[in-house]
Amino acid sequence: MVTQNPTWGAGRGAVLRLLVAAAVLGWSASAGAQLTILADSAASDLPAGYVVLPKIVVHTTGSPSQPVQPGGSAVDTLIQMTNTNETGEIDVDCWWVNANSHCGGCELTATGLVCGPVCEVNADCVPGLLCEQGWVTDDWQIQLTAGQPIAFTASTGLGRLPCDFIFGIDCPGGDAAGAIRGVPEDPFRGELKCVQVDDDDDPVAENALKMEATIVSTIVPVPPPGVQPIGITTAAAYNGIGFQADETFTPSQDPSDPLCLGSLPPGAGAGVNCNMEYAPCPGELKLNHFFDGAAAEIGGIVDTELVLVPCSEDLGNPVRSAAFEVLAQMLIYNEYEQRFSSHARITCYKSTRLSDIDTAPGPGGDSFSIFSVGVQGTSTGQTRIRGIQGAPVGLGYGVLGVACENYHDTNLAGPVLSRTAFNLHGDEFRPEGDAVYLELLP
Amino acid sequence: MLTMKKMTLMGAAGALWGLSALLLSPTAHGATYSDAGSAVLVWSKIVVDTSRDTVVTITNQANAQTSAHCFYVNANNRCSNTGLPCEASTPDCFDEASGFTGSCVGGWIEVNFDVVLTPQQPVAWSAATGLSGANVPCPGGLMGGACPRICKGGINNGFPCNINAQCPGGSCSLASNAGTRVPPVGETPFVGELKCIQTDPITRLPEPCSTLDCADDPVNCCRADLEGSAIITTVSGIDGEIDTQSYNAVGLRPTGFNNGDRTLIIGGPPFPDPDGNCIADPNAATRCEYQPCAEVLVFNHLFDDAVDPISGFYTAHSELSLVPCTQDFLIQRIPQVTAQFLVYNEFEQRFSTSRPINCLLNAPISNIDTIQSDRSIWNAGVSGTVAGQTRITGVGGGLIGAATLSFCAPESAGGCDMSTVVQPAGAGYNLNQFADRTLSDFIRIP
Amino acid sequence: MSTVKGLRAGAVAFVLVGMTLAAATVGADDRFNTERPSSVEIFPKVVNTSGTIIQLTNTSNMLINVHCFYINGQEIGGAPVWQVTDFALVLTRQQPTHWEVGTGRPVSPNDATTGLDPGLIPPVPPGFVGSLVCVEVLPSGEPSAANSLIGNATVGQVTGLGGANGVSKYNGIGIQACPGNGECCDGTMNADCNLDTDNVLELNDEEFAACPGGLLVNFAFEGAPDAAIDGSGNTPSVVSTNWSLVPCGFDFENFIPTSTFLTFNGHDEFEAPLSVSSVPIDCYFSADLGDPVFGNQLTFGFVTGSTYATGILRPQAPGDLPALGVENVLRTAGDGSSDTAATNMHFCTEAGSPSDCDKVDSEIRLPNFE
Repeated sequence: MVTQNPTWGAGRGAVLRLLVAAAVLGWSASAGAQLTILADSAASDLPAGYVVLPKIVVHTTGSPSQPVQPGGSAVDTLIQMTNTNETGEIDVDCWWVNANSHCGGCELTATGLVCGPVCEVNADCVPGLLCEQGWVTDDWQIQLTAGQPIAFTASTGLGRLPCDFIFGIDCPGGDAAGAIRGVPEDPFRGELKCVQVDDDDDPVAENALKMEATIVSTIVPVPPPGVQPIGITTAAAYNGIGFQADETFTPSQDPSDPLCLGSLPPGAGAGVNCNMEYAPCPGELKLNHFFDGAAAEIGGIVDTELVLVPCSEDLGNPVRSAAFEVLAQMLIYNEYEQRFSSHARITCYKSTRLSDIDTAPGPGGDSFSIFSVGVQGTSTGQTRIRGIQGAPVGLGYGVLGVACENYHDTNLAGPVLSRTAFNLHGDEFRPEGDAVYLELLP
Repeated sequence: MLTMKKMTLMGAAGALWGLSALLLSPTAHGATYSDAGSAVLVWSKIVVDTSRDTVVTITNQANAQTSAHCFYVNANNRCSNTGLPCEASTPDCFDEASGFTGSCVGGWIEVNFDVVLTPQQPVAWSAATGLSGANVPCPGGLMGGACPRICKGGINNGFPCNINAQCPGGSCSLASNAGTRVPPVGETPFVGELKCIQTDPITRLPEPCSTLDCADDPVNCCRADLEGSAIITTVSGIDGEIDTQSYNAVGLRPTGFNNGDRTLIIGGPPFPDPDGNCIADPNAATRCEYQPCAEVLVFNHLFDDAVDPISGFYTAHSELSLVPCTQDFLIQRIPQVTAQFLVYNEFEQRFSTSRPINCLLNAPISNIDTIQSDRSIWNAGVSGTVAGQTRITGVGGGLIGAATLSFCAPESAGGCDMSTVVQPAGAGYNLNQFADRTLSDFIRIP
Repeated sequence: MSTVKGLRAGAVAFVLVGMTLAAATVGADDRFNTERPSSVEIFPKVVNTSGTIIQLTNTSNMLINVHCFYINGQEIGGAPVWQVTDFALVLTRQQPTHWEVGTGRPVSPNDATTGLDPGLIPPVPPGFVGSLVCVEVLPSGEPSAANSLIGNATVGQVTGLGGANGVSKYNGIGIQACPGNGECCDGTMNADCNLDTDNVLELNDEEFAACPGGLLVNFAFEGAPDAAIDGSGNTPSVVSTNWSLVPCGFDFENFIPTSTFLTFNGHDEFEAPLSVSSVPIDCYFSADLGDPVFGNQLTFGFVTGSTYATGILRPQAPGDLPALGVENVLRTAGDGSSDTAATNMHFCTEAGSPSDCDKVDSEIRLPNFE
C-alpha cells in the first residue's frame, strides 16, 4: 500500500524495490568503480579511517579564566582510542575544533589572541558585546602500536604515550609516538576529528580507528571546614562516528585535496580531486527522544541537548569554516503520529537544547516549543533531521550529531542528577557528497 | 641576582641561538633577504610604549643618491565604539557615556613618507620621535658642509663628484637628505610595521628597469641598494637597565624587470613550465618585478616557559612578528592571510594550528593559539621540550617575519609576567625560509 | 492501493535512486548495526531491578506490525529461566512509541501514557533481567524485510537529589533484511537471496544479515580510577564495567534457550596480553569485569598496572554462536555519587587472522503462525 502525501520520498520498502530495479542500470554503469566500504554511510559501530567525536566538553578547576569553584560542577571528557589493526602500527592525525563562544568574539590581533570571556548567550556579556561563536582548529599527531588502546582526558591530553620508546618504554608490538595536547582553552566546547594517515600525513585507505567519548561531571569537593554539597556525578558516553575508507582507492596525496565523504561535492573547482574516499554522510538523521519536560517513567524530568555539526569542514582554513552555515530541516512526530517541522542553522557547530531550537534560548520560551511535552502531548517523539542546501561551493551540507539526555530532579530548573548520551540513527546516504579539507602543508 | 653581566650573557646567548638556528638549519630556499641590498625593505616589528622604542636604521649601499618611499602601518587594536587603542574589550572599551562596551578589534592605519639617502649613507631614527627635516644628517645648502658632493642632473645624477666637469649636463653640489621627513609613529603605545620601497624621488614610484646588470647598463638596471635593521630598546627596572633586541629588515630584491607602475608584483607562477621563472611571463602587466616571498618560514625557538639551559633559572619567552607579503595601500584593504603553523618539539612530535593574520601579528607565541598560555602548543609544559621548530605557511598569501627571544625571572608558579619584568634580557632574529611561493603577491602603493 | 501522488513520488525516487547509484557507487551492505532502520531490533540489556524504557519507532511511511519477545535471563539454581513473553504491536507511519518494562503499556485512551497505544504490552516481573527482541512482521505473522524499525533503551533510575541516580542509554541492535529478489546483503546477486515465507529469519546474508564474527570492546579495568573525576579532586574514584551479552540467534518456536561460549583476547595500553578462554552465555549474560568468570584478568592491578584495555569477544569454537552486547560503565566518585553510561559494542568484521571475526550464520525462529 502506498500512502498518500508521502514525505521525503516513498517508504523505505518501496525504495528498496526500486533500488533493485535501478541496480541493473546503476551497477552496470559503476562496475568499474565498486567501493569496498562495509557501511553504506557513516557508522558508529565499525572501526573506520576517519572518526568524529562531535561533543567534547571541558570545564575544570584548572581554568585560568573561569575555574570551577569548590562546590561547583567540573566536567571533562574522557576519550578512548584504539588501533584495531592487530598487526601493524597506525598514524593518526587529530584536530581539536574549538567552538567556544566569547563575548565580543575572538580575534588574532596584532598583539595576539584577544578573546572576551567564554559565554553561552548574549545575556552572559556586558551590554554592547555579543556572544559570538568561534571556530578554530588545533592539530596533533600520534602513532599507536598494533592493537593498542589509549585513553586521555580532553583537559590534559597525554604527554607521553604508552609504548613510546623515547620514554624508555619498550613494547613488543612496535613503538608509539607523538603527544596529545589538551584542549586549547578551558572551558572548552567543540569536537575532535581524527584521520588515519601515513608517515607523510596523507590519508590511508585503512579502517583501524575506534573511538568513544565519555562526558563526566562531578562536584568539586569543598575543603574543610566548609560544608560539602550533595554529591552529583554524571557520565554520558557515545561512540565516535566513523567513516570507512575505500580500501581500493588510490589517494591523490595532494595535501590541498579534500577527504571525500561519498564523492566530491559539486563546485569543488577544477583540479581538485579526492585525496581519499570515505563512506558518505547519512542522508537523514533520526532522533528518538523524550520531549523536553517529560517525566520519565524511571524518574526525573528529561530534556535533551542536541549537538549538530556539518559533515564538511575546512580544517586548514578557519575563516572559511567559520562562515560555513548549513540549514538543518527537522520533522517532528509525536506518538499520535502528528507532525511538526522546524529548522536549525548550523554554523560550524551547534549545541542546543531541543526547546531552544524554535524558541529563544533559555527556559523562558520552553513551554511554547514544539519540542516540549506540553505542546506535543506525548512523552516521546521522533525527529528527522536533514541538511539542506546552503553550503559554499566545494563543501557539502551533510550533518552529523549526537544527543544527550539530562535527567533533572523535580523540574527542568532542578539539578541534573543523571545524564546519558547516544548516537543518532541514520538512514540513506548523501549522493551529493561532502568534503573535509585538511590542508596540512609541509 | 641578575647582573648586567648575566643579562649581557643571556642576551648574547639569545642572539647566538638565533644565529646558530640560521647557520644550522637545513638548506633554506626562498628569495627574501635580510643580509643583502634590496629594493623593498620590511620591518615587521615596530613597537613603541612607555618602556620601549624602536630605532630604525636604513642604509644606502650604492655609490649614488637614492630615495625610498616608506609606509608605517599602525596595527593597534581599537575599540569598535570609541576607536581608542585597546588590549581587551573589557575594561578598555567601556564607554561611560553610553554604558556599552565595544569590541577590541584589530586596526590598520597607514601613513607614508619619504627618505632620501646620499651615497653610502646610513640614517637612523627613533620610531617614537621620527626624523624631522632639521635633524637630517645632510640638510643641504650651507648646513651640509660635511656631506659629500654629488652630481645633480645630467647623466651622472646622484653620483659622487668634486667638480662640475664630472657632471655633464648637471652640476656638482652638496649631497642632501632634503625631502626626508619621518613622522613619529601615530600614538603610544604603538605596534606595527614599516615598509620602504626604493623609488624615484619625484614620482615616488619604482623606477622602470629591464636588467640586473648595473655595470653594463646603469641607466636601465633594477637597483637594490637598501639595507635596514631595527633595534628594539627596552628601558626598565629600578636602575633603568637597557636591553636591546635587533633584527635585520627583510628585503625583496628585483628580478630584472619593473614597469614602474603602482603595483609591485612579487613572485609568481613559473613560465613557461614548472622549471621556468616568473620573469619569463610574456605579459608585462603580470610579470614579476621582485623575487618571491618564501613559501615556508622556519622559526626555530625555545618554547615559552622553558627554563634557559644556560642559567638553569630564567624562563624563555618568544614573540613572533608576521606581516603579509601582499598589501594594498591604494585602497587601504586590510589583507588577511591564514597562517598555518606546524610545531615540532625535540621528540619530533608535531602539533599544528591555523590562524588568520589580520594585517599584522606581533604576539607572544603562546598567545597565538590560545589566551591561556600554559595550554598553548608553544608552551614547554605542553610540548615537553625546551626547543622547537615552527614552520609557518601562508594560505592565501605569503608572509614575512621576525622574532624576539627574552629571558626573565619566573615571578610565580604561573610563570613570568612580562608586565612586571624587572630586568629582561633578550635578542631579536630573523626567520629562516624554505622554498619560493609560486603564487604572486603584490604591494600596491598610492 | 496506490495513489497518484504515491506513484509519482515513487517514480521520482526511481530516477533519483538511479542517478544516485550511478553517481556514488556505494557498495550496499545490509548488516547488523546500531543506527540503521532494520527489521529486527535487539535490546540486550532490559532490567526491572531499576527500570528500563524502550523507545521503538517506525521510520517508514507505512503501517507496520511488530512481534516482540521478552527473554527472562534470570538464573535460578544456576539454570537459566528462559521465560519468553511475547506481544504484538502496530505502529502507524513514522510513529514513535515507548513503554517502561516494569509497568508495560495498556491499550486505553484514558491512561496516563498519552499517544496512540501500539498494543497491549505486558509488564515484566519484578527482578527481571534479560533482553527484548522485536521483529517486524507482516500482518500474517511472517517476517517482513521492510527495515522500518529503530529503537533505544534507557536503563536505570532517578530517585532524587542525594539518592541512587544512574541512567544510561543505548541504541537497539538492528538486523537488516537483505534487499531480496536475488540481491544479497553484501550487494552480490544470488538466486538464493530472497525472503521466504516461513517463520524462520535466516541470518545468513541471504535473507537477513549474518551475525558479525565478534565484538570489539574498549574498557577500563575493573576498579580502576576515573581520570576525569580524579582531575576534579573528588577522589578516590572507581570504575566498574558491566557487559550484557546475548547469543546471536533465538528460537521462539521451540523455546530452546540459545547458548554459546565466547573467548576474550586483548591487551592493555602497554600491549600486555589478556585472555579469557571461556565466557559461557546461557541465553543471557550480564556481569561486571571483576566477575570470577573473567578470572581477574580484567581487574585493575591484578595482571598489569595499566588502566585501559581493548579486546575482541568472539566464539570460542567453530559452530559456536557469536554474541551481541552492550557495555555499561558505572563511575563512582569519592563522595559516593555515581552514574552509569552505556555504549554499543563495535562489531568486529575483519575475517581471517588475527582478528578471525568471520561472519556466522544463525537464525531467529518465530512461533509457527500456521
